[in-house]
Amino acid sequence: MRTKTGKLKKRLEEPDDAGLLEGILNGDQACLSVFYDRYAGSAFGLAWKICNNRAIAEDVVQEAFMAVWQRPSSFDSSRGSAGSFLLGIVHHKAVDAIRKEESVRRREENFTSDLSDASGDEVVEAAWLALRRQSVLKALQQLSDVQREALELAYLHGLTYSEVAARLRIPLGTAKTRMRDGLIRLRGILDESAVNG
Amino acid sequence: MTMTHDEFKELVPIMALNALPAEEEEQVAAHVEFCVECSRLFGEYRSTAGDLAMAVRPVTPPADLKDRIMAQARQTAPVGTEASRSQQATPRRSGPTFARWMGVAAAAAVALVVIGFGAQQLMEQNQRVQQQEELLSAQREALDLIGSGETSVLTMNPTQDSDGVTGRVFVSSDSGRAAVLLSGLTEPSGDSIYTLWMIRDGNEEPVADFGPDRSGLAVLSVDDVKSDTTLAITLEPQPGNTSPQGPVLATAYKA
Ligand SMILES: [Zn+2]
Repeated sequence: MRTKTGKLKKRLEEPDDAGLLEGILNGDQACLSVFYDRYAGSAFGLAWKICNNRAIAEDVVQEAFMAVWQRPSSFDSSRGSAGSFLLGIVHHKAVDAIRKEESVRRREENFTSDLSDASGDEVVEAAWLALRRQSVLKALQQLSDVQREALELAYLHGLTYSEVAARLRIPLGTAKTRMRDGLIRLRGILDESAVNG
Repeated sequence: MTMTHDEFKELVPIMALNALPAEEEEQVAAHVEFCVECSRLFGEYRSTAGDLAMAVRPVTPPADLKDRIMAQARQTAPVGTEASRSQQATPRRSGPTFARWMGVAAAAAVALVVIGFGAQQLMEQNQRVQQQEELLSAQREALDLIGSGETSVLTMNPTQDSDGVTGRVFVSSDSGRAAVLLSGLTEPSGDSIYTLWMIRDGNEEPVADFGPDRSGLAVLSVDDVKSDTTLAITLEPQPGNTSPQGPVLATAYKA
């Protein structure tokens, strides 16, 4: 029984990425490979969600991993996990791609709040990844409805604050305030849960 | 339209969400580059935004994507390592007097030519965005080196020989610890190497030999930067020089 518990615990534990990034820093391709296996699903899920286009999403994920490969030293472990670091890059590149290819998107998209929905091809998530996602979803639930809505539209659909304002038919200042307050609140909640385990 | 620090600060979380229209993003990014507080905040919000991304359900990418990435990684095998970048300054014996530079430095201090990390506007947006990210993260690294507290920012003024090398110096008012952030560096050929010098009381002292990272950036730390100190970058023909032989590329003067 003891071994079983040990294995389960191991599966639930978030892996330590620091060693991986150190390997990447030294140009170790095996480390890049493991890093890819760990986060490619999250990266592709995010890129696809924002771009609404498989081919563009693939390009975005490729560019993001290459950015990490070419400049892993820009990662700072005191400012969050390696996964968040990678996804931050994916997001920036995805948003960049759709704003350049306005026509691809916008027209065909449908804005459903589908964070908890099972849409698309799912992967069998590693347990720690699922736990991590649950904790972020839980934190999001603690925001006000309007804050959550603004954050989702902005970050998970790649809209600018003016597009968020137009979509929600609210003043620009209100859109900015909701996004800002939502993000600050989220940071507080996640920091707190990190401290309390 | 000019915005104040407080107005920029309000937009920093929006920028961390990548939700500013392009023109505004450019403005805010330019401020964040200079502003110590906004730069710190941006790093923190950016990380929270990355956490938010974890809320999205993973999707299995096509199997050949990994092959493509690994193939590209083999082609672009890293040329530099961490060692080429964030180097602790290792003090060495100081050399002879150095009057020539004092003139250069003083002139530069008067001219106060503020050279941004320019030329970015001329590049493709994609490249621009990536460079900006790299520069910002290098700046965060620089700021982390000197710790929190009051910080003054000096410009590394390029000389005629700079060939694109420029930078900033962040000096902690409390500790005198400084971080030098340089951009526009190229991989030196042969034995040649960049050297950072500290010039004070008529002495020039080599602080560190260094090379650029893959993005042409370098972050160096220097202790004990007091008033009336000049920092200078040269390109030396070989490592270990105790007095400068190569051309002076950029200087900064701490009044
Ligand atoms: Zn500011």
